[in-house]
Amino acid sequence: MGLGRTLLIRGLSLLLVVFAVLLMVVIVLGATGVSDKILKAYVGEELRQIRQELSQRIRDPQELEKALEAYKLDLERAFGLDKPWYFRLPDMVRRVLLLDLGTSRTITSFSGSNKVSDIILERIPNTVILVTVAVVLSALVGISAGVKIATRVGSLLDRITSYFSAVSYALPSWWTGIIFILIFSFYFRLLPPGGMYSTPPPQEPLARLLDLMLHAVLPVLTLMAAILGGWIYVSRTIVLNVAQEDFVSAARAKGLPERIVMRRYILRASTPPILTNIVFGIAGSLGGAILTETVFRWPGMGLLYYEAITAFDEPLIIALTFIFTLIYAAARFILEILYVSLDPRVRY
Amino acid sequence: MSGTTTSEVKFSELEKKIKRENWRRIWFRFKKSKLSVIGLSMILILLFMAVFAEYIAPYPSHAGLYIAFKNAYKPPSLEHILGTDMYGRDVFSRIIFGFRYAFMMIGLVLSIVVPTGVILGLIAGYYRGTFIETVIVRLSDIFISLPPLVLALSIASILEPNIFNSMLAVSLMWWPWYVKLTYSMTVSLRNEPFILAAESQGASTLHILFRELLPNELGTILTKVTLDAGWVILIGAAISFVGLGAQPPTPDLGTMVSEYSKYLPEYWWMSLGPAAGIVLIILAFNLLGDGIRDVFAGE
Repeated sequence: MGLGRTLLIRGLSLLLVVFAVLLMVVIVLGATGVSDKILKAYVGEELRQIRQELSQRIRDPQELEKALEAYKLDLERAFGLDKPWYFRLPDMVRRVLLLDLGTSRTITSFSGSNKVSDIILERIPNTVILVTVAVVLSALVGISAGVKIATRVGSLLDRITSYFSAVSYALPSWWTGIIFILIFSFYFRLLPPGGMYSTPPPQEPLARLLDLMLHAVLPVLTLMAAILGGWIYVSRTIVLNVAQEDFVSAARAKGLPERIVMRRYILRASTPPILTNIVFGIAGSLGGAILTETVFRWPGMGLLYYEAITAFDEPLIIALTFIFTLIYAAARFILEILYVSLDPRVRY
Repeated sequence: MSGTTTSEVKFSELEKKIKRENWRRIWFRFKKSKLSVIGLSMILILLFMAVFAEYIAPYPSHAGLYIAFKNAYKPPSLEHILGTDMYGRDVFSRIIFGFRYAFMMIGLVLSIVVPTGVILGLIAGYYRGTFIETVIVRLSDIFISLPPLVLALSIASILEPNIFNSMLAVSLMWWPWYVKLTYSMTVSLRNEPFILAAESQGASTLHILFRELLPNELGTILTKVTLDAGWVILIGAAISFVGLGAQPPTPDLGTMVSEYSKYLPEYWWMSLGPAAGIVLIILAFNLLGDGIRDVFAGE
């Protein structure tokens, strides 16, 4: 099978999976009656406002009730509450697929728009910056440290790093974040405790970038603290496993210098499995971003997700779950391409 | 007739002896690494504390709703080893009860997730190439294609926030990983001679799945279970942090850390204790998991 065709099939199946996820979320929300409950609560909220407005104009209580009843029926029809939940299903799926994500219930974008796509679009870059920097940095540090340690197993350095990775794996990342804020912003007053820019934000591009970097240090460190240990451990194990293979011994037996054995034989063969682990790294960071962004008030999708959950903004939760899945699927697809082009043995 | 009975007796005795010998070997390999023995004893101690929390905690009544404002915000002292919280409750006592919820969470989640995942994985691997495999594998693919925490949080958000629903949310995101693991092992064992031999002797499918395939996969599954125990606690704590998990005054460790971290930095002892408790329990399971992995890796 050709390379292009393999990738096409993989891409299509990923898209199908994303679609299935979306369908599942919508069905679960509908079938458990949550969707009905939220919409009814929303209608009730709306009615209370209308009652206040109407009571200014209509004095007769009976007349008022009648007008309100008419409004209620109108609203319920508009939200589709007069029919069972599955009648709302196709419409909802169609809209999300066309990326017409509708309007949020309470949360608005920074510019005041309540269109979900507006809200999410201005948040995506912020999360992407944070997650990419953290994943790339911890991959670089983790892989080079793991490879280095794999060449001297059992040394003091090896033991120290394995203790470190065991503890880093066990700490709740949001608590580490809180501790970082305490140490670096309150005690030493070195770094800002949260947000993305100082208030007021600097106008010059260079100063703005510097300000952004200063604000990003702690969130990135927090995310890294949670994933770096795993990185070191995994790359150490993979390199160790490859180093025990026959072709490595053969290379050594040929009398090749250790440097070349390491680079051309061990590292070349270790790259694909290490790459697969980037997928898990991204998955972990996307989830971790929810917690880290919340702790540091970093205005990305993670913080938005937290706000949507606490305010129970149903359209926003559905849309965000969809976008998170989409980003995750896209990352998996890119890695799939890298994997296939790096390891000629893999052809589906 | 008496001859067959004695040989049967002898055979069962021999079998018992072999079993005992096997266990002794496992224990021998396990205790070679000091760290895994430390992990095991840590878990046993914590479990003991969790079970007998009422008798071990210095102030058992402080676990739930209890208010004594005159004792509030006390730093660690001999009377209160880890200090008291904003209602005057002893933090150390609450942590001991917190271990109980932690073990409950691990036990419940894993007892939902592991059997479901393993059985589905066995079936999917055994019926390779049929539509049963397609359905099971695709379904778990769907769950896996969501970032784990996003899935757990979105499930927890539509349910009422309490400790059982957060366990449910964690379980729903977890089972596909066991399907994947068991499935890939079953597929590679499927065409081994001993399975073919069992099939040609007319063994039932149930026998092949649970007596031939499962015992060969148990080591890897058990390793994953112990290493996952820590993750269960972490994800549960994250759900509590967002406010969708156990609600105060439940002495759940995650809920306590997120509740008490509002009082940082002046009252640092409040959140430090429960957080250290979380680290301790996760560390213990990870050490044990490493030990178990070494035992089965040697085979």
